[in-house]
Amino acid sequence: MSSAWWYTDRSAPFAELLSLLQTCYHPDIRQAGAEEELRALVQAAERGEDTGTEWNIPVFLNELRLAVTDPSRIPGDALDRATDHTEGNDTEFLARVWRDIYPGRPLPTE
Amino acid sequence: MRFDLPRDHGERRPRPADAPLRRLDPPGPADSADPAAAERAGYAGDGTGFALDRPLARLNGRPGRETPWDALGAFLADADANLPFISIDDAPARVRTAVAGGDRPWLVSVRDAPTDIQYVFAALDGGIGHGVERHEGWLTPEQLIRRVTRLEDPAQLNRADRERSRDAYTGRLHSSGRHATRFTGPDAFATAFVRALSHPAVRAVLDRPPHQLGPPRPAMIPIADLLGPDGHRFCAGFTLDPVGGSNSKARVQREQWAVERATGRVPTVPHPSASPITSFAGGDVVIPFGRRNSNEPFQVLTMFPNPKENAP
Repeated sequence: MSSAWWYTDRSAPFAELLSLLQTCYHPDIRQAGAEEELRALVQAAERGEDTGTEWNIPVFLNELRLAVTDPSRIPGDALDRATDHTEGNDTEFLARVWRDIYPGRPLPTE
Repeated sequence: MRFDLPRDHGERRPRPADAPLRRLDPPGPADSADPAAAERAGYAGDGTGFALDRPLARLNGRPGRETPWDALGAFLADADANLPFISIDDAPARVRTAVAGGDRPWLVSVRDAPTDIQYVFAALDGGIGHGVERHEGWLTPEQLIRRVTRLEDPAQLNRADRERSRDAYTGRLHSSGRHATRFTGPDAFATAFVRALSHPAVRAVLDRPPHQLGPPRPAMIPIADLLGPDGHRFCAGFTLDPVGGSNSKARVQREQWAVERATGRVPTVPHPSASPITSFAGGDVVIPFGRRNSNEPFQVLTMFPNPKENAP
């Protein structure tokens, strides 16, 4: 994760997605309850509230939808390196993220 | 069990812009009028060779240089790090008490350290973070290997729970990334921590209004910026070996191995293995943040060295 491109270049495609997922899911970085905090942030942003957040939620959600639809859009093994997830493949991990944010809502691919 | 928290726990006393540092005297010869200088002069270091008197570039945009001693001597737990207030005069006794009690073995590292370093560790022990427990020099290579291969939490003091991979703080299955790393001694650890506090990326989070939503991005600061050009020599660790060329598969198998063992079964997958990280040159210090609740300011949640990408 050190000096990774998604950290040093926030304007790069999928940088917002990778940075926020790293913050919320990487086992050595996340604080317990980070998934709930992410869901609350997305909900507040979608209600149009002034969250004061440093994250660009519209960009994050757009990148998440693109990635859920086609994980290969994310360059190389960046999602794996950013999150060290244990789902075994990026498709399963992204589906978990989607369900964490939108419990009960079908995946964009369903 | 942690220290009893003082009455002003959770409150933060901002450092006034022109506030004098806690101690301004540079290191010098033993001087009975300056106990701190006497302590520094008589301190031979933690045995790692890390130099506490070597000038390093400031990280807060101010001109000039500072030694680790300067940064340590200026540190204020509450004003600088949102940690509960603790008097520097109380730090040595707190460390002694903790070591004698045997419930925080990670403080053994600073049992004989100068007060300035003991103060950093005692202050962190009152906060929400777990960097000392999981990433400081008290850890042996064996503990790091067991963490990265078996998900054993070194902060978990109950042996049976540790061997069941039970996290010391959440009670759930402990987790780890692909690396388990540490600073090799308390001098480098304390220096990295107090110097990071003046870095703009860290200050932006620690000074952030509590009402802002969303978890803050972790800070990732070059090891060389915090510890000097040879700072990587004071970092060590192990990385989980890939399985079939796959890091992802290795993490999945590690978790399966740990879960099966935790539930009393004979693991059906091979025991995970790890290899030493050969170099931290070009790596970063990663600093995630956390807080007790949404009404409180953030603290440093942990702090660990990370090797440069693709450096095994």
